Amino acid sequence: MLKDMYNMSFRHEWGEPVPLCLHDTFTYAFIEHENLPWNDISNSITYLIQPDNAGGYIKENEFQRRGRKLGEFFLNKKNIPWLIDNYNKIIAEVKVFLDKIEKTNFSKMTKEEIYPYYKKFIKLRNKTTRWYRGTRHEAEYFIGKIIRDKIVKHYSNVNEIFRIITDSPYTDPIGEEQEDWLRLLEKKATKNDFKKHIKKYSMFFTNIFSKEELYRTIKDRYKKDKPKIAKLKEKKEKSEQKRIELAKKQKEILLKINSKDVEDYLVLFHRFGEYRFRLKPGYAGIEVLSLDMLTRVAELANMRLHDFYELLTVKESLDFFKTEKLPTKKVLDDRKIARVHLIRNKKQYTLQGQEAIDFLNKTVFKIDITKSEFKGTPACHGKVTGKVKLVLSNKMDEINKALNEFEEGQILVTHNTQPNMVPLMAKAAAIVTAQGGITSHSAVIAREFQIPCIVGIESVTMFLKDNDLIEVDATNGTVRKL
Amino acid sequence: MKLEKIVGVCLANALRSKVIEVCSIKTITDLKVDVEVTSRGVKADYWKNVVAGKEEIPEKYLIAAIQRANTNPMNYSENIKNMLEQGLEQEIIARHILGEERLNYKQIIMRFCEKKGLFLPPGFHRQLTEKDYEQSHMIVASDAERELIDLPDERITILGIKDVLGGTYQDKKPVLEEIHFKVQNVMHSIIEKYL
Repeated sequence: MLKDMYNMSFRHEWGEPVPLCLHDTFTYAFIEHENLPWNDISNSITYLIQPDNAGGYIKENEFQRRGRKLGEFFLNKKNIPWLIDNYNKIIAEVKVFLDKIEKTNFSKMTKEEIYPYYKKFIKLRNKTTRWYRGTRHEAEYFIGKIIRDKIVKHYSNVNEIFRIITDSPYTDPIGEEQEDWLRLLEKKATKNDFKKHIKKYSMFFTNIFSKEELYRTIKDRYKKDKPKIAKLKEKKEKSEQKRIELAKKQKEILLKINSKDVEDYLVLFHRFGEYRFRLKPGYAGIEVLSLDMLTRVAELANMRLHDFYELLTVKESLDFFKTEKLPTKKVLDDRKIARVHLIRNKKQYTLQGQEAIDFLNKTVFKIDITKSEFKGTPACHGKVTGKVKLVLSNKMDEINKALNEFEEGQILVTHNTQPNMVPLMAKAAAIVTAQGGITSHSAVIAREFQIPCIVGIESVTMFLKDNDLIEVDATNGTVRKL
Repeated sequence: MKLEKIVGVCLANALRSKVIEVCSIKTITDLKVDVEVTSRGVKADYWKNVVAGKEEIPEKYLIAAIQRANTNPMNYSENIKNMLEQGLEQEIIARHILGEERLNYKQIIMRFCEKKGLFLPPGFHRQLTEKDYEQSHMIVASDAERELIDLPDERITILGIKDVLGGTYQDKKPVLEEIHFKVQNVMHSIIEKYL
């Protein structure tokens, strides 16, 4: 039956090399969709070929239909307070759950005792992912169109004005993290301080599977940043100053445009960027704060936590509690090489090893790789020429490795930046991403650092390789291979 | 039965039942009937203990409290905002949120009474006791409270006002007006029943 998918055409949507359970969670949102318009997808493919060739695809016509639905949804202003209220409910649910498990001792729990906690963990992660997608950039496209139409009546440099007014003048969670980090650097931080910092900003520490590694990572960062405190402070002050100037500029522009609609949609833009960050720990970061529970679950399954998280689907991990059964060693070994997790007519399937690679060759790998010019969404203006540095993994050690290798003037090309990539982004001459819109993480950080940035160039990571010379024109949103 | 007392009842005696009380006093006075009016909460002591930290906050209410404060931070004090930013334990924050909301309810009722010219007797968060069942008729906020009261139907009037937590005076105004309207409407038939 999966052969039907060979004739379908797919659109690239995301491409992070994440554990199988997360690919599963992302696409499970299309099955348990709660009638949310952004989850109206019946066919999708996610894959990972080790070490870091990863992708998420959606059937082309469904992708377009979803875009239209999202436009309709967001243009109805009544939907927004409802959406924000639901976001806040999920954020609160995650925090309450994390408080609860922090106080619980899992070390000697039996399978039966730990099951409700694990089930709730899965439920919350699924729920966050399901709702998180509501901040998708298709919505930005439709709302952006309305705002641009109003700007054009008053200004000739529409892109520039659009960029200024859509940038949030408020401190986002990334800025908050920097502030908190600076506070720690200013004093002699204790383990308890680190613990509090990790709890508040867990999404900066994803893909870490032991407490030792967690504290080692944060201590290393502390040691590295401590001598640079004056520079970091200066940077922070500058960015605060920029925010004040930005707010002032926005006020002037809005006064000239004089449209209640634009003002309302801008609040939405600014809040969406913020909510994207606030929701994220519910699926990327929640595992860091649940390490005690997850370690015990993996121990009961007689697996390494990393493998348990990386190689099992959600259903398989839940089934283990009822049937004691886990996939065979052969299946798990195959998944270490390659795996595909797909949705076909709202049903989930997992393929692994050679079978997965064959399937991908017949479906999503049918791309013309001779293409040399790409178009995306400009997120921070500027024009730069430089060599490509591809960063395809969001794992901490890979990012640290890339950080050491990164040369002055290189252009960061990635699927989508993560909070743990911020030091890398600060070094880049320009940033190009395959995913995201103007309120995405990449866009927000690029504007913070004033680095030319283009987001949402579909499959760009498949067309470019390390050291390719490219021209990034982030004013017009084009990348050209030279 | 000789009617001696009308008791407004809701869950915590924080807002709805108190408004039933003040509206009932006005209507009773207008009707020139000499009956005592008071208000009680079916679970007033429980909620008092929850806010004081003597009882655990049920998860549903805990999540809802944090959600309210995050959605409408302007409705809460700087203190709550700081607590949310600092990432304190959610249960501690939720208690403060509930505490602030109770204080806000008092102010909301005071404002409502001022605007409508109603008399506001002292006393909030008073537990419904056995004594309140004697010689009384109860005006109950909603079906949820009715289920917790052991009294025959003829001695109870249900207004159908659901519990919605949080909010400003403007948010609560429709509920206050609804109680005012409904109490005025039902009081005649209640009095007639006993006279």
